[in-house]
Amino acid sequence: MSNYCLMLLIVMSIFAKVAHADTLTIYSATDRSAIAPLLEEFAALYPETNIDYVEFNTQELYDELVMPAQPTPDVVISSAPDLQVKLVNDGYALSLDNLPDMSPEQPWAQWSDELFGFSYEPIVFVYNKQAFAQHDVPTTHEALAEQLRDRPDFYNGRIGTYDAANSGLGYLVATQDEVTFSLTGRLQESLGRAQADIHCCTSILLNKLSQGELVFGYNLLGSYAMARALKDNNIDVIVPEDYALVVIRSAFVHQATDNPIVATNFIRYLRSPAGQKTIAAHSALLPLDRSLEPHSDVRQQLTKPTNFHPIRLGPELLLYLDKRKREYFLNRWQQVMKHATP
Amino acid sequence: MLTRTALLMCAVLAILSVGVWHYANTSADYSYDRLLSSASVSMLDGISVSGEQINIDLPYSAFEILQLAPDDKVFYGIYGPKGRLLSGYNDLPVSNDDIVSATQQPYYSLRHYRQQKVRFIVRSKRLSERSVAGDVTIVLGQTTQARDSQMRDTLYTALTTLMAVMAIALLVMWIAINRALAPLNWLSDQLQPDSAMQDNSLPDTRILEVAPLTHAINNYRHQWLDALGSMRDFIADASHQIRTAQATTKAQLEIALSAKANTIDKASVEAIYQDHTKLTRLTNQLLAHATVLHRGDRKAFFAIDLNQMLKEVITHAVRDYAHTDVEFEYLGPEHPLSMYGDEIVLKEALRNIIDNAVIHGQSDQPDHLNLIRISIKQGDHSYEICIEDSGFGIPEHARAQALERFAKVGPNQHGSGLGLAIAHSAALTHEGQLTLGTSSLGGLQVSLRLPNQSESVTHYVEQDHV
Repeated sequence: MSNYCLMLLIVMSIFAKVAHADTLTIYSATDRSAIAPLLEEFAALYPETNIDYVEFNTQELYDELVMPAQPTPDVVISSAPDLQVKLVNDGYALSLDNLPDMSPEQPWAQWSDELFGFSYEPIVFVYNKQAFAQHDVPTTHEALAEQLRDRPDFYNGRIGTYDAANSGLGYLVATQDEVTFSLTGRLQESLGRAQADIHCCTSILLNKLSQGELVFGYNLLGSYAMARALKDNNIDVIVPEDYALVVIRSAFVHQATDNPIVATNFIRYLRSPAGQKTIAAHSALLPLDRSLEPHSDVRQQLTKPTNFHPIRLGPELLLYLDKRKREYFLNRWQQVMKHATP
Repeated sequence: MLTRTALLMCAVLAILSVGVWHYANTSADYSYDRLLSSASVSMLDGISVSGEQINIDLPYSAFEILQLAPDDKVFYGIYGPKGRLLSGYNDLPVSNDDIVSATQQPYYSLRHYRQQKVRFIVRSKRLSERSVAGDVTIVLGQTTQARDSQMRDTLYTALTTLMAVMAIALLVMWIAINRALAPLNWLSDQLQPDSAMQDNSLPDTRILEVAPLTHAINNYRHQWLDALGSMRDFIADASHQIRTAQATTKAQLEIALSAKANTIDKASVEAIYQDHTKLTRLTNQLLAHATVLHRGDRKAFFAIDLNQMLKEVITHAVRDYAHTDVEFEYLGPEHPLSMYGDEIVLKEALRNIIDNAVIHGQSDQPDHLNLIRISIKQGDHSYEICIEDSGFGIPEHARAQALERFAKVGPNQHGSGLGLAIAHSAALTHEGQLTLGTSSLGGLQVSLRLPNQSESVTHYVEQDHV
């Protein structure tokens, strides 16, 4: 009798195990279409794992984690490194001691055994090919500032960029520009004078550029722009030659995860050679491994010796998240861009 | 020796480790507190007043300073004049008291915050504009990963160095001990194959420190061998004497037995009796000699009264020799003569000297008076006991020989040759002297000089008390 009970228990536990196939919940501020190849490959590698992928924009994602309305995720992915750093700083991440650094030359691509970068996405210029048929395309920040000054009529109302006040990425890039490049103030003033068109999202800017409504896009996210340019003949991408900021897309395991092993495996996969190859060959993202040539970088601009300036994952990103600092910065930014048309 | 030293070193290491741990902690705190301090100064720099408002423009450099501890989390809060939070985290574990105490000088503390150890600095700056007067306080915290890892680095480096030094010290000590004891090993190697009985001197050594020891060992060995040699001679002599006496007795008995007559000749019995007496005396003297030598080695001295002792010895002698025509004369004081000595040994010596005097002091001349005079004189530090007889005496050249064992000098060869040797040994035991001279009675004068040891002993005791 007791033997039967034991058998029954064993059978039940086996069934329970099958029924409880691991579910990996990912909250991500990344277009599903851009990351899909990675999810598929991971699912193939770990067939017993179900992936539940929920898409947010960066600020929504931050708010959801700080004041949760939905169940806790296992992995959090975002292209906004400052918000990711803030979440990790405030203790939302699990420390993963067993995950090695990507490479000794990229110490900025992870922080504190908790936050791990896996893509390398430069901030680029995008232009409408037709509009620049007869002109030189500015390939440096300085050249752009000069052209804005020399050809005000051409650019007036036809240059687009992120709205720093409403876009997390736009704010990050604007602040990092200020930290990195001494002439940023002048360039911003020129953009203000040229009545720059400011928007929240890369896709709107790309659409307007493709349609010819805008001729030049300043500080756009390289990964999406290159992926779009691959399919859209109207636009092309320039990686600025003087310096190019690089945004690291990063992931961390939520400290309250139920599946730390699966979640860690996912992050390990993202940084593994297989994951990096898939990013380069099939996704709309750009790989952290610089030796791989992304399929969307048609003119091999990413492998040129440009002065790339990766935005380090680290506590200094907390600075511009300071409430007062943000007010102070946006005040000045809005002063400069007051002629802009949101 | 080495094990004890190693244990001692381990104890020292343990004590030093505590010190090193403290040092590592202090130095790590010191360096990373400076980071916190300069970052907080830099952050306060970004606080200014414009119009009625407090302006906060935190400088990028402050965060770049903190980034020197690259993996550490950063938390901060900026509080206005009335403790109002202006910016930053609103749940920092800092009380109003902390903020007040920071107005004089920066205040450091280690707190738990968000399940981590966080080191906080609280630093104030006075705003003295008319519109805004009061203190602005910044509370800046950093987790302790870099600090702890530096502390561990310092600790491990210092401990490794410490252990290496200790290991080297132990090694050096081991070598030193081995080197220092090497002469002893050499010595034991030299001694081991030798038999103690062999008369080999140890070879000369070039090790200066050991030379006195080898000399001492050689010396000791030679003395030992000498003593053994004289013992061997004594045993050989004694056995020869005893065997000779026994053989004589036996021969006399055989002669008596082989006589045809059924009655034993009185002369034969007389001869056997003489031989047996001689053998008995010899045996007694050998035993007495052995006793004297043995007791002399032990030197168990007690207070004795020489006067009393002499009287007893003479009384015995008078009784023993009552059948002879020997007369005794004692010239001694009436009061006791005390000294430290071995009564048994001295009695044995005196008895032998007197026996000797009785045997050798006899003369063949009929009108000769057989007188033995015993006298005692008290000197400054010694007593001198003289036993004189009226015999033939010993010629001057033979006197030294007479003191040796089994030496028989003079015309009367009946003695065993041990009597004076026993007396001589007894004198030496008491650090005294036995001299032979010519008596005023015409015969031999034996003087036994004994130092008055009671005086010297009391003298030493007094000195001890000073």
